[in-house]
Amino acid sequence: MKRGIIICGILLFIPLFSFSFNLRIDTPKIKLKVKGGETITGSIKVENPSSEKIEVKIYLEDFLYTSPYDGAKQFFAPGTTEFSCSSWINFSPQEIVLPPFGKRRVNYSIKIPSEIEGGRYAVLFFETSLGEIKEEREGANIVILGRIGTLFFLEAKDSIKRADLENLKVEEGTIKGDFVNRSNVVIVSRGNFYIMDERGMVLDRGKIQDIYTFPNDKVPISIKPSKDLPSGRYTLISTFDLEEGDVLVKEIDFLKDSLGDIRILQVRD
Amino acid sequence: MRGWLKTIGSLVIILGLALPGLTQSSKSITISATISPVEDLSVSISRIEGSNWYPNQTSIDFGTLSYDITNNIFRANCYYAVDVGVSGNVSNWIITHSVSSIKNAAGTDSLDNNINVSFNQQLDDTTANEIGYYSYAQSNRSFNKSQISPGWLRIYYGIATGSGDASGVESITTAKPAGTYTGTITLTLTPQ
Repeated sequence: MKRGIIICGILLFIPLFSFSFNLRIDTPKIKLKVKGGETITGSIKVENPSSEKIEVKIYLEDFLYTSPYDGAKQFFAPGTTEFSCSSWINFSPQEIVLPPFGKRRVNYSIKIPSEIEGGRYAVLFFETSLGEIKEEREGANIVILGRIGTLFFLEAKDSIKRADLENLKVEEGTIKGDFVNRSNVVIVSRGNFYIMDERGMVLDRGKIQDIYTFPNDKVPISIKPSKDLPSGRYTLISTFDLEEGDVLVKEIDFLKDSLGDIRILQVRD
Repeated sequence: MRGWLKTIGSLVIILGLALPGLTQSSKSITISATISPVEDLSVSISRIEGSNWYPNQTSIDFGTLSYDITNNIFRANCYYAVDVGVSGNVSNWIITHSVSSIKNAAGTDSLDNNINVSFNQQLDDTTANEIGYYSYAQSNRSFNKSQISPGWLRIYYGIATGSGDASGVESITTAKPAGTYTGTITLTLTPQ
């Protein structure tokens, strides 16, 4: 029985292909509500689950969300973006060598300035490479680097999330608009909608794409009412869950005519 | 008589002590387990020549390209597959593929528009869905968990062949200066 469990365990963890490089961390995201002047310390465990020794370089960068705002990020040198907290973070060590199946903790310390407003963000990378080009030879040679990031989200305790849905219009039977982050913190929105007729009957419902924004980011969204809606007057209620209890709700009254064309009549908060 | 009384007295004392345990027909046992948060990135490179795969390469090295005198272009005798596996129980994740220009030593020329990059959701060793096909120059892309799971991300890199190349990819001609061209690809795993 015991041997069976061990064999099953081993089989479960054998990958479908042989990896040349493997890196693991236990803290991909650090999200804290902070107040001015405080110091926060912690550690991140870095592991090498492979049978090969790896060298890991550790460094900070800034990040911003980028199109299509589904969590995709662009990375920048530390301290170069408006919402960076890279300069507040110290960590040690900056390079480690992990033996096969070895692990090590990387300690960090965050010193919040005496005054903080809104949110500040950074990413701590753990990077290793598969190898180096050892000799100069003709042709094309490309080195592969792999890195895992721990995202830091440091937000003032009294920060408020504010977002809006703007520029609403109809294009080819689809209601389109811009989700705008009007606050000074990152907003992650998970949205959904339902459409009611004049009697209050729900005739259609659906999900709005997840949106990841920094302050002032503007992200196009689209909601396509069902083609099966008969002509008539409707109210579309869109709800954007901004996390931690914050919500944006927009009610959009629209008319669908006998030709199937949609016209927005009124938008309410 | 006194002996009997002593024996009975002892039995009463023993039963008195043992009875609460014996009468308890069921007992709760607390079981606890902690699953550690984990996010894991695994990368491997394979060189492919014809139908032969050579795994565990340490870089993408096309070597010296051969000149095809019929079509007047340079060709490679291999292409590469990079397998990127992610496992994690913490959150949704996103993989970012970012490249630096593949330049010659002088920095005057690049192969950025001479290499095809194909991104695939690999379901098993032989089944895949292509989720993007670009020139190396246009291959800065991100893929989230829902695009790759179940399975893993496999990225193919191949020198232009003049047929079936990605948009914007051109064959390498004699106009390209001889020499070593080097670049870097960074695969980044972060929470979404």
